[in-house]
Amino acid sequence: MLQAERPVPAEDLDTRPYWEAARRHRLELPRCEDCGRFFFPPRPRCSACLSTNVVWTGLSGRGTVYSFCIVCVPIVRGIEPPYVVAQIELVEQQGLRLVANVVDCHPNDVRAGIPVEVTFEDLGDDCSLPQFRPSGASTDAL
Amino acid sequence: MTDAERQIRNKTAIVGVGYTPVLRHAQRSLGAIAMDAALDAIADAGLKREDIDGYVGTPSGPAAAGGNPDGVGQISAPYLAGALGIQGLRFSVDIVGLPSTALEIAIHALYGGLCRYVLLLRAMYSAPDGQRSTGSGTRAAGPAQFTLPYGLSGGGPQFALGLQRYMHEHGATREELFAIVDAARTHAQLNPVAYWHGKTLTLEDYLNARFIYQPLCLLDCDLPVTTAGALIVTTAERARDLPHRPAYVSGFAGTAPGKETVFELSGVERKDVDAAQIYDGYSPFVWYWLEQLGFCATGEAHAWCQDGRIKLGGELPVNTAGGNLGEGHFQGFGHLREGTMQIMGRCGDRQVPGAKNCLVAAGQPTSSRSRHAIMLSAL
Repeated sequence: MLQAERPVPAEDLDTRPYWEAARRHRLELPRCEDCGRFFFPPRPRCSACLSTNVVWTGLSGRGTVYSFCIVCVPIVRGIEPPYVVAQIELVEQQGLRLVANVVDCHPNDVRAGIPVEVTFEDLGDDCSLPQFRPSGASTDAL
Repeated sequence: MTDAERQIRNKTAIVGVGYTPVLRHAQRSLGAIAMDAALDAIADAGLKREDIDGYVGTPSGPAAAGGNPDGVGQISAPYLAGALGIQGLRFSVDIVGLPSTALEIAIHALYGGLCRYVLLLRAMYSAPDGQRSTGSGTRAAGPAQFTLPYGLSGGGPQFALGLQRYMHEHGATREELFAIVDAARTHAQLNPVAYWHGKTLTLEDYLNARFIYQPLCLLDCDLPVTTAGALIVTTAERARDLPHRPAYVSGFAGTAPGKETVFELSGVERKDVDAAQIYDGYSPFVWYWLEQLGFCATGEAHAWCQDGRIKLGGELPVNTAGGNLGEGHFQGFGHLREGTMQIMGRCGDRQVPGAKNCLVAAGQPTSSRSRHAIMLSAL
């Protein structure tokens, strides 16, 4: 099965809360209690002020497509092209961006700047990937 | 400007070049090809192998998929010294970095008196299966855990994301991007060793090329090749006695914001740059570099490059040997070699008449990894 061969996240101590939240279909990121900033990827210290006073905090899951591309060639085993890889800028903070696929819409309909919302793609029982879809879209519509 | 930066101006020079044909896949071993380039460079500088007492190599090969056995996928300092029978290297190092980083280390080794003549070598290997970066493996660890499960692997998609954003912010078009590829391909017709020599390209060809990472098409991406190049670097005093007009290193700068620019360090103004060799692993790199170097404002490079401005005969000829897009994926070594040869006046049909200052921009312009702007000058 292709799905079984697809790379899955190898969690470590610093990133486990992110993936644990994703399994509960929640988007959480580390937030510095001293300077108030979210940061990503997760690290033990705030990348702005180096504080260790970091708390995992839930986000709205809303954002916009900062940029995207359509991968047209097979470059990762188990993931069939074409597919959209996007940088999603989250509404909570300017410059706070994640990489995800834009799902539940045709690749040619993706544009920079469109509003998106988080959804979760379950890869087996113990892994769930935060993904994003155009705001208002639902899987029922497909 | 720090004392060290000020003091290295024109204290060292590139005095010899060696290079081999650029091939998609070679029948000969990379070790044999590297030897050719090294021996050609030594002879070109009017030296004998016994004169070489410094070596800086950049061995880490791009042939990740097939591993990198020494002499096959990469060339290490011990391999090359053994192959050339060079003993008595007073300074020898293999680095993880760009060819420009190798030059930087050579400059400091020479300036510090550690050695007299440094051989720089870069050899590229394109494995027969063509695979360099693969997203293989089923567990994505470290930073890749946030990208690889989404099908993001290697640099290409990252640069496509950057290009899409640039087009969105600045209204740039693929028709405008063609100017970069067009200049590279046009100049490659004047470079007999270039992979794309003899193969011209039209706008229609470009727009019809298949997408790899849309909006990047096949022709926006450099081509994996097998080739080798070598340079000889020495001190200014020694350079004067050698056969070719030396290409003095008048400025060597990082590109961090707020730091001295290569123009300040070299004393060469932008209007006095005769040609620029700008790293073009992917075509939009040239836009970003031109903006970072201040030839135009942020967001304007796509328009600035039109109407032949960056072609030979234009205001700022860019990548006069074809660059990565016209010559082949050489990780910037070709750019250093061409900058040197322009100053030496040895570029034949593609020579910029009377070239006195040639700028070399090395590395990915948007990367936080090392990247350099180097000025090579005739004195």
